[in-house]
Parts: sequence; structure tokens; C-alpha cells
Amino acid sequence: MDTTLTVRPKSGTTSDKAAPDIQAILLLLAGSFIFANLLALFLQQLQPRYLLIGVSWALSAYAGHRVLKHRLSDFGRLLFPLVMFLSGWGLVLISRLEPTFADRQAVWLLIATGALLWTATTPHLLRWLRLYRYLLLIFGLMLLISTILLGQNPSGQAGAPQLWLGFGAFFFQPSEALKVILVAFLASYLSEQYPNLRAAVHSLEPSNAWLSPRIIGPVLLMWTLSVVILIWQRDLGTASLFFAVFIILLYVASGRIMIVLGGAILTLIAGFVAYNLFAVVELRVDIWLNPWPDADNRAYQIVQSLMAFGAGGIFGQGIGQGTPNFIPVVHSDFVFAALAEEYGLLGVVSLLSLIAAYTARGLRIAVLSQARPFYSLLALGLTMLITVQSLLIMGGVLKLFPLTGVTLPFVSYGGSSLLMSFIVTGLLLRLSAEVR
Amino acid sequence: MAFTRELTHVLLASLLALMGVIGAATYWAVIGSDNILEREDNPRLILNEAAIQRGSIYDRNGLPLVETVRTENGALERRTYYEAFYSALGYFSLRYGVDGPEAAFNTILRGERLTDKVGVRFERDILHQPQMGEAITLTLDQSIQQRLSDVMQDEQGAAVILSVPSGEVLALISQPTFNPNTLDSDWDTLIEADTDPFFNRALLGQYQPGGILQTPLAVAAVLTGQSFSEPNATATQTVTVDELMLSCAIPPPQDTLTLAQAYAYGCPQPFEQMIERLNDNTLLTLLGSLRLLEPPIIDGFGLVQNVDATAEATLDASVSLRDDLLGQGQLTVNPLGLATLVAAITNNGNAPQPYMLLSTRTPDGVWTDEQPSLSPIPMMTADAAVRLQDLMRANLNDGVANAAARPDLDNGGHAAVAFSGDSTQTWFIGFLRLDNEQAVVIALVLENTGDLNQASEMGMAALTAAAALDA
Repeated sequence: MDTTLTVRPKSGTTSDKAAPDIQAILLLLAGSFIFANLLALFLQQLQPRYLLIGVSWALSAYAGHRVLKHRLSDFGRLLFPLVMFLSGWGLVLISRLEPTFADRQAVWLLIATGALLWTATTPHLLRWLRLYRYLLLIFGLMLLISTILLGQNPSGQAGAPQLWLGFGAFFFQPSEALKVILVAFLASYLSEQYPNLRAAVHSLEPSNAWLSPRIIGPVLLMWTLSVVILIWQRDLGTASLFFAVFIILLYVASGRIMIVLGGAILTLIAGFVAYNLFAVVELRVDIWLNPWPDADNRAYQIVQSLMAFGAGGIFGQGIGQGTPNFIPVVHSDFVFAALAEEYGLLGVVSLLSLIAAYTARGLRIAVLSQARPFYSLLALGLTMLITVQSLLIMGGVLKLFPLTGVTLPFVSYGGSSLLMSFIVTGLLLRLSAEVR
Repeated sequence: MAFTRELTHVLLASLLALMGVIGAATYWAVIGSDNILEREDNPRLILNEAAIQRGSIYDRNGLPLVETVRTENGALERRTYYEAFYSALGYFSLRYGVDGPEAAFNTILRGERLTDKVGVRFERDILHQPQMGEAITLTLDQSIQQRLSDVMQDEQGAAVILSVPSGEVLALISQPTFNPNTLDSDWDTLIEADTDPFFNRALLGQYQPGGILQTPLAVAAVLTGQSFSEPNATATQTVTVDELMLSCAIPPPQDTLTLAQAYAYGCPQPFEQMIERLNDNTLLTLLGSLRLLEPPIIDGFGLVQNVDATAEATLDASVSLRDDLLGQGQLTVNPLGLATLVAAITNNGNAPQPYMLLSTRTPDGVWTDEQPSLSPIPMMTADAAVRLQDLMRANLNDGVANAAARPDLDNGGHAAVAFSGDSTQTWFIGFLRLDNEQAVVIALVLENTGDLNQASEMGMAALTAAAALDA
């Protein structure tokens, strides 16, 4: 397979108009899958809720299709159907796992679609992001500080991570917004600094290239920020995600593979220190290394998750036919395991293909945007937010690495996560429209 | 372009990472799935088990004895229909497992044998259809079982009725027992009960034989050419085993008795003399050939009867062989073992091997006859068998088992008392011939009683019913 990303000639508007409406076709395919599953659930439990959820999805898909088709003359035809497929599949799973939560998620989907459309169709948004990057960063850090000071947990459970800000019955996870803000800031910063970065790197001996202050400075800054998040919020997932995405951005900007190795070493150091300092990290590492002796207690969740994969086999148990509810909090962190049990390995490969397609599409936008480095790095960072977060939670659920407690973008239950994932997609659509 | 190379690397790394996730998912879903799913702490195991529609159990005439039915709340429930069969059929419980025929034929009842069929695998693995088990038809007969249960009433003990020459188990009872329909709720009480209701006395019980060992000793006497007609003036004298004084089971009309009369009145002294006359090795060889040291196992019941526990006993000839052969030593016997011995006596010396499975039926309704895997075991010569039949017939005239006499029937039997610590057991073994070839035999033991007439009457009453129905 030729995986080299090359810039293809711009397709003509005339031929695009003559081409079949790919977005509509893909949305119809996605809709068929989602409605078939909702119908299966409806027939099993005869609850009209499933049909209402389907209507909510259909409204979002139809509105998104109409707006994107008319407001953007040229746009990424694949991205919107992709995220609608993923979020619809997520709605199906949440409906099956926690029906009452599905109602809320359906409302969040409508809100998130609105946010996506606003983001994708606001002409000056990208310019604002670059111009007001410091303001945005300050806002993001204020959000972080406010979470540290005023954070709550919607479950009200003692000892649970306080990662949400509450407004009455409404909860929002600021770290979700912080992800996008930080990516925008870093893309803007690196798009200006990358020539200097590359010059600084090349002025040193190759073996000492990573010692350049222009490289090591930002790395240590982000590392510190990640550690702060880890310490104050015990949010291993967000800290890991920030640092990983930052390292990728810095690698692409500087062109030095040593950045990645250095980042890996710093991650190991932070992990070692965190393991010895924080019980939550120690627990996650311990049950990752050997969950079996404690399978009925502390490692119950991960062991049940692995059993769900085994129970699903190749073809899965079928929607509503498995027993994924043995996994605690399955609708959020472990929705991937529920998907594996009910749709089997075929479902897992399908999901990963969708995420791979999203990644490839996002990186293609990054390649096509190289004339404007900010756009290119922003597309890269936004794409990596989705890809790395997906890898973190899927790998954790499969015991490839310790659990980080992040959601599976578009699929897991969580309003903040869904909203920000749609905003990320909206920005990618905006970037796609700008470059083509 | 500025970032093309790096972006290509990022794409490649992302795709590789995603493929790594697929690899891990493949491992847990396919390669390692059996290992993780078979863990005892997998809660899906119980749900899967609960979803299995176990096959029904029928009696030999097609009467349903146990069925899996769906309750109003949609759950599957195992129901045993006849109280008389409670001890014969064992139990199935999601919480406590299986026992008895439910355990012996568990693989069949769960439908495990069908997994070799491609169509069945497709239905289970791909379509996720519920696992359906095969139905089985047993050799047990509801009418005979009911009659045996009726005659046993609430007595504590066990009984087995076999068909000769086939070896089919027609009825089997062990008391006290349990109700398999309320097993889960009764479990704690049952497990604490002194009477050990879960212990299947007919299959696993090892009892003190007492005077019932005079039947195998009579076989030994025939095979070693002992005289059954020579008068013995000391035949009615008591015999002492430790502090136990053994005398004739019923008072004989005179003090001088032949060996045949001693057998009929249950007098131990002539048998003690015979034991002392015969070589120890000869006696041990004879006992071995009668399989008294190695109780039989119903075909397919290896795990249920726990082969280790019933493994061949060893007798120390130098210490206690006399006591053992007088029925008050270390040697213990099992109802099924004695029933098999009587079956050999009735069947020209060849012991049919007991079995219980007649046929199976797949979920789509195809019946298959099941052939027993064990062959009859020669125990004695045909002449010796005929001689023993005559001796046992004589027992019913005015001997120890005269309560079992049925003048219009060709039957025989032997009854005896055994002492075990402070308790007393009473044995009855007997046969009822249907024609030249066919017969039914019984071995019955009652705990905590020394009433020979009661045991004889009960044993022959059950046997008469069995004969009428089996004919």
C-alpha cells in the first residue's frame, strides 16, 4: 500500500457537481446501519425511546448534510458521514447499555452537530484562533485552574476525579475544551517557530540536536503542564493525551525523530514518578501488568473487558444479546469492549477502519494545507487528538497499556467529549474548505 | 513540501498502532478467548449455562421424567416430575452443579456431542442460537420405580432392580433423599443433615454385609466341591467376631443341619468351618471373581460413582479374613454389587453389566439407540449358578426370606442382618424368573432395622411388580 501523502491536483468544481452526492450516500449507509440496530433494540424491548433517538440522529445528519452542502462549496465529503456513523453507533451502544443516558446523549448530539456546523461555516474562525492564541491559552489555563479549584464529579462519588465544572444539572469537562485550545495554540506557535526550530536543530551536531533550547524548552513546558494536570487532577488520560499530541506536533515541526524518543523517555520518567506517588496510577499500572490475581476486585473492570472480547469472538453476540453490563461504567470508558462483545472482531475492525479513515482524512488535510503551516499543524494536532485518544482508550481496554480513563471519541457516553470531538471535526472541515 | 515526510511517518505510525489494536483484539477474541472465558470468575459462564436448554429425560416407555421448561419470567427451569425418581435422577443446579444421571449424561443433555456438527456450530457460534441438549431415554421404568418407592416408604436405605440378562437398571432408590426442584433453597439444610441425603446409597453406599455374605460363600462352597448334604451337629452354635456373637438368623427346627439348611436358616458356624478349611488364597480369588471387592459401575457413571472411591478394596488375609467373610470385618459391599451378583446367579454365572442409557434424541427429533459399552463378566460356572438358584429358592420356603415366598412364581432370595457399630442393617437379595432366559433381580438394604421379614416382603413386592411390568 502506498502510504506516502502526496498533494493531488485540485479537483474541478464542475466535475464535483457532476459527481454523485457521496456524502448523502454515505449518510444513508450509516443511517441504515444505525436504524437497523435501533429497530433490533426496539423489537427486543418495545421502548419508543429507540425510535426517538433515531429521529435525533436523523435530524442531525440531515441538518448537517444540508448546511454543509449549501454553505461550503467544497468540503471533506467523508468526514461528516464518518463522525455521524461513529456517533450513531455510539448512540446505539449507549441506548443498549444505559437507555436513560441515551436520551441525554441524543440531545448532546444535536448540540454538537450545531457546534460542528457553526465551526465549519464560520469563515474567520481559523484566523481568530491564530490571532488570539495567547488569549485562548489564558482562557484555557483559567479553565484548568477553575477545575482544580471548583471541580466536581457528576456521580458525587467520594474520591472520584473532580474533572467537571457544574452548572446546576449541567456538567462540562473543561479539559475537553483545553485540548482544542492547546492544539490551536501549539499549532500557531510552531507554525511561526518551525523555521527557527529546524535551523536550530541543523546548526547543532545531529547527536545534540535535541538539546536546542527551542526544542527542549517547549517540551519541558508541556511536560510540566501535563504533570500538573496529573498531580492536581489525577487525570492520567488527559495528561498523556496532551503530551503525546504535543510531541507529535513538535516532531512534525522540527523534523527530528529524537523528539519522539525524548518524549517517550520523559513519559517513562513521569510514569515512574507517578507510580510511586499516586495511588490511582499505581493501581492502573499494577492491574495492567497482572490483573489476574485481583480479577474479582480491583482488576474486575479490565478482566471483564477482556472477557467481553472473548465472548464476542469473531462475529459478536448481536446487539442486545451480549452481557457487556458486567463491565462497570461500560457506557463510558469501556464502550469499545461492549462493541466487541456485541459486534465481535468484525465490529472492532470496522470501527478501527472508520478511525483510520478519519486519521487519514485529517492528515490529508494537513498535507494539502502545507502552504499555510498553521493550518497544516492545526489539522495534524486536531486529527491526532482524536486518533491518540482512541488509541489510548482502546489500548487500555485491551490491556496493551495502562488504563487512562479517556473516552472513545464520538462513541462513548459524554456530552463534553462529543461536543469537542464534533468541534474538532468542524475545524477540520473548515480547514478542508480553506485549502481546497 | 515542509512536513510531507513527517506527516507520512505520523500516518504510518497511526496505522501501525491501529493494527496493533486489531492484533490485540484478535488475540482476546479468537486465540485467547477460551482461556479467559473458562475462568471460574467469568459471570458469563452462569448465564451461558442458564441459557442452555438441557435435554429431557424419559423413562423406558417414553414418559417424561425431567424437562426444562420456560417460566413466566422467561428463565429456564429444570423440573423433575415424580417424587419416586428424586434419588434416581440426581439433580441439576446452576449453583450446585450436577449429580446422578444428570451428571453421568451431562455432556449429552447439554448438547456437547452435537458441537461436531457443522450446522449446530453455525447456529451456536454464528447465529448465537441457544444451546439445545439431546433428550435421553433411560432404562428406568416409572411404574417399577413408583412401586419400589411405595414399598420403601420412609425407610432409610437403598435398593436396585436389574433386568437379566440385559443388565438394564429398572429402578434405583436411595433414602432419605432430596427434592431436586427445590434444591437451591433447601441446600443449606440438606448439606447439614445427619442422614446425608445427597449420598446415593444404591450406587455409592458401602455397607457391612453381615450374613448376606453367605450367598457368595455358598458360591465358593459349590465351586470348591463342598458337600451341601453332609449333616453338621454343631451348625447352630454361635460364632464370635470380636465381642459380637453371631447365631442363626432364624431358629432352625433341629441342631444338626446340612450346609444347605444352614444357608437357609442363616447359621454362620458351617460357613466359619468352611472358611477355616479352605486356603486363604482360594477364598480371596473366589471373592475377586465375584467382584465383591470391586463394586460395578453403571455404564457411563464413572465420574458419578467416583472410581477412586470404589476402587478395589484390599483384604489382609492374615488379620481379618475370617471376620471379613463372616460379614463383620473390614469388607463392605454395595447394593449394586450384590444385585449384579444375583444377576450372575440368575444368568448362568455371567454377570450383566448394569447400564441406564437406552437412546438419545437430537433437538431436531432424531432418535439413536445407544449400545452399552460393557460386556457381561463370567463370575461362576453355569452349574454353580443353577445350584445357587435352588438354594435361594429353598430360602423362601421356610428359610430366612420366607416372607418373600410367592408360591405361584419362580423366585428365590436371601435375607440377612448385619451389625455395624450400634446400628443394624437388613439385607434382601432376590430374583424372580420370567422365563428360561429372563429375570429381574433386586438388592435391598434397610438401615436401622433387623427385621428380615420386612426386608424380604418389601424386596419381593417390588420385584413382583417389576416382573409383571418387565414381562
